[in-house]
Amino acid sequence: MARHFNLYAMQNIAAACDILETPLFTLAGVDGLSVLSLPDLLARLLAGSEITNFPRLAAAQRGHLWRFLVRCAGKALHERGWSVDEATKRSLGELAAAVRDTLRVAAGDSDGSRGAWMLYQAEPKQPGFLQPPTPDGEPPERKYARNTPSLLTSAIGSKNHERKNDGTRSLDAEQAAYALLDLQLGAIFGGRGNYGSQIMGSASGAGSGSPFMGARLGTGENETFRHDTAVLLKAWDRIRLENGLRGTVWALWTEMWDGESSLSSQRLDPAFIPLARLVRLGEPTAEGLFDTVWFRPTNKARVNDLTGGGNLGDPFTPRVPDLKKPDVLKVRGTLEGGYNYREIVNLLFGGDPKRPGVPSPSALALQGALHDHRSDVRVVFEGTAFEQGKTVGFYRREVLLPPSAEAWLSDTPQAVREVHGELMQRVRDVKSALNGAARVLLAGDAKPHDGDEKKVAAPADNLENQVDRRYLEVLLGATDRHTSGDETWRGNWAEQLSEWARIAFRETMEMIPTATARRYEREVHARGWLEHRLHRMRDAAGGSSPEITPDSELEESSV
Amino acid sequence: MSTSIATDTAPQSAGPPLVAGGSLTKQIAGVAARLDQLRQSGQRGPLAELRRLSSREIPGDAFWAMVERFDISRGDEAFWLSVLPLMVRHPHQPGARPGKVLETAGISKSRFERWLRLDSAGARREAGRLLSNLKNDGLDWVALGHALHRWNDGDRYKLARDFFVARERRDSTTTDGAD
Repeated sequence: MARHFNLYAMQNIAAACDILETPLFTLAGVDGLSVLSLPDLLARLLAGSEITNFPRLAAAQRGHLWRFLVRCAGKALHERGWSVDEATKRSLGELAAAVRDTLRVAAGDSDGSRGAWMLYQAEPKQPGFLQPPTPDGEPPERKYARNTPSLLTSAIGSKNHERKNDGTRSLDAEQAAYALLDLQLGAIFGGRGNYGSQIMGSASGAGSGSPFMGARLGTGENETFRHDTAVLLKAWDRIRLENGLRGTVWALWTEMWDGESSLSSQRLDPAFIPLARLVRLGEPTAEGLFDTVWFRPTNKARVNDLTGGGNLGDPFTPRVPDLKKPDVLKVRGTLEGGYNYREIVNLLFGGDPKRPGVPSPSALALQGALHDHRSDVRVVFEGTAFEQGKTVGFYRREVLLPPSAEAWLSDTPQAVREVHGELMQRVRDVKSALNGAARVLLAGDAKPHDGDEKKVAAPADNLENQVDRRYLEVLLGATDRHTSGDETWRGNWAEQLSEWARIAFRETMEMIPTATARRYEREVHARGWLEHRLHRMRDAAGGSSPEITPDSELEESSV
Repeated sequence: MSTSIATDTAPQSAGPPLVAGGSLTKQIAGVAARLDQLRQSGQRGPLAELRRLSSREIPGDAFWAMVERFDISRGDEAFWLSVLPLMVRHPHQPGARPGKVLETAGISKSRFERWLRLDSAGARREAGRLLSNLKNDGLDWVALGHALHRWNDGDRYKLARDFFVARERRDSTTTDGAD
């Protein structure tokens, strides 16, 4: 059931919006913009023409919507006993109808009389989409706090920007659906009464938020969606057995919840839809906009996570071992620094020997595509980092994997870890050299002094950025050479780092305070220090290029 | 008489503007060789005339002969007016790095730093006083000429490196000897 894209028409659907019936989700495809209901969208993603993107979706909401869609498709196909391949052979209409019927049943609302998929649910005893029934069956006006829809976000506003919690805001139906998904799937623990989503990063796994590490195949969304749905279906039994999700509760929002007790994670369905908070949308305005959200704090989290670390079988969740119990995996949240090359290598190949990461099932399953020597295989890292109750920022990074990554994207990527360890040691050597050189410029000698870290940080930061841009390519190339017996990668890396270090120092030198009267003397000594340390680093790496001295450049300029 | 020599009174130069480093190198080396030739042939007149060149006065025939011979562009005449007198006083000695030579001549590091911090015009103006410490010793005019012509950070850094590395080596030699 598609209709032409019309923003104004959308304003009329809010009051009677049933997610399974009403065209709501705007998408861009080969045939332009269109708006589809959830079952039609899932059918098109599985078996229809290519969808290129969701133009009305905010960047930070993409991962949450994607998770929801994959979980819905996974549930529908599993209940039908269809594989993804089987689903793709059906007509769009048949597929959409099957998905619609299955999801209605899965939400405990087989005939639609409860309104479990209604965006606005007037009856407090019944659930609305991602809005559990009120605990006492009373209208939310009684015991819920009145808020604006700006509450519906995983971001925590601490500055006066548009997402500030208390800001006045209204959402149309599509935006409200995205915002509900953002809150219920992405909310973190925000203090007593404000519990987080079941898939958020745990404190002992480091990082925060609901991290997203997913595959990306081709240029559109469809192939990736089929890949991810297949991953979920394949993992179904393992999630039941290993993660302990042996139950039947799929649509958490349809269950009664008093906010005083938690549901055991064992009662969850492997493809359950996460739920964080008790919220209800207020009645939409005459213009079809939602301007009221009712919120009620709870004394318990919705689910009692018996895995102890949010390890609930999510296809997009990267994990790391618990520091105290290495055999227990914890969700690796988004770190404050986002997804830099160290984090990416750790999550893909377990590059951190102290805490080797485990890729998300979606990313791990890319081995098949890499085996076919495809050149459009990517991994997407997304997540919002939080710190001390504030939103640090949303990070997104897409990494292209070369076919050679297949061998290393496995359970025992030992070779890539060895090479990574050596490459990282050289990076540490060069950063140390840059810090020393910066200190010579700052104070005349390379010894660290109290409080000078920030003053001398610019060259090493610049180097990190250079390394960050190229590292994965270097690492995989070096690993290939290492395994084929060619060890020249060590010298090449040392030379490359030396070059980057010189550039980094030259570009950032002016950011380091120095005595004007001694500027040139200090610069000469600083660069001399840097060259000396780089020479030692190249020696350690087995390189043989000579140290650059004033005399070695004599011939360049003299006649 | 104060005159803008480089633009008003100089004859047209046929050569292209000096942009490539290579052509400046050839010019400096050629001028140095020509000055040596004049010295060896005992032609004191042109040498004296070139030694007295000043940016405040109209240059004489010896200067224009150089301009003609080495295809010096109009835009570079001011540079050559300031450098030629110095080249007459201090002969070209390939490989004698200017920074190192100045350090050996006993220039203090603070004075050298101050000179490096000057702008291009100031550096050319003060170069004579700095080089006067060399007595009649030579130096690599290709290196110094390039530096004075461009006077960018890289050139100044090279001068500084030669100077301070030489100083470092001298200090360490002195210390070793004391031990």
